[in-house]
Amino acid sequence: MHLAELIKQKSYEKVLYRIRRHPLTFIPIMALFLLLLLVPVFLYYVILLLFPDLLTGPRSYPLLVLLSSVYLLSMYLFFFVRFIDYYLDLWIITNDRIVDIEQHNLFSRSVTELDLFRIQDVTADMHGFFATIFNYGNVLVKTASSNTHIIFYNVSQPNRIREHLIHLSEEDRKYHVGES
Amino acid sequence: MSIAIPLYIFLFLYLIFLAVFLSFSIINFYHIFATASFTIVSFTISFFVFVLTILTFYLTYTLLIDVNWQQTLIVFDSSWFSGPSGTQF
Repeated sequence: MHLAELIKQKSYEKVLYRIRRHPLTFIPIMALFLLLLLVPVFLYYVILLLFPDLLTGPRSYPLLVLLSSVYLLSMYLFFFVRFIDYYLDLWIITNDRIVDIEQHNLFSRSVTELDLFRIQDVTADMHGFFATIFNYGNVLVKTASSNTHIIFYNVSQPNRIREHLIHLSEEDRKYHVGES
Repeated sequence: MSIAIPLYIFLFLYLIFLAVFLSFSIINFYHIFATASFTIVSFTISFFVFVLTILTFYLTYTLLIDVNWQQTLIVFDSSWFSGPSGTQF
């Protein structure tokens, strides 16, 4: 599916930004995945040291191999699901609106839209050592008329995005004078 | 009294797990395509997971090729609950 189909792009609409989370925020998941991959290797040496018969037993050996295989495949699945959760959080900014697509888990996704001219307040928020060093953080977009708000989580250059959103909002407001 | 089950039961359980694994993997791929997120990054990660999966399948197959699945595994034996003198608990 193309992005235009996903957001039902209008004829006059132009996609300006397509924003995802900062890649650095996925590194802890990768590190955990690599650590979990090492568990069978560690257990192999423990069994070899303490219960070497288990590795040659006609019944225990196939069970251990099947168990290891199940464990590894589960870890790949865990990693892939976490990647989907990370990568499918997407914020699309057009010259008319913001589309917030959030993947909560494998079977839960929410899509929120917000017209640019309704934006009243944009806040950029950077917390922590890595966020400051690598320049990523949250951008909170609020509207006046409703409780609708959108948060861009852990995106690169939050201040730059905030400035662009304010500018785009002012531009869009010119076309919607008189509307609430 | 003892209860024994053949080893191939575990192989069937493994195959059921594989079916679940494949279903979830297909759902993951579906999400990537359905949200217009098929990029070089998602392709690289998917390929990485796919290669690891194939390698694991291959290793499991080669390690288990000579196993006699007709062997039985005793899961319960009343003698396990006998005392040192053979008295039943």
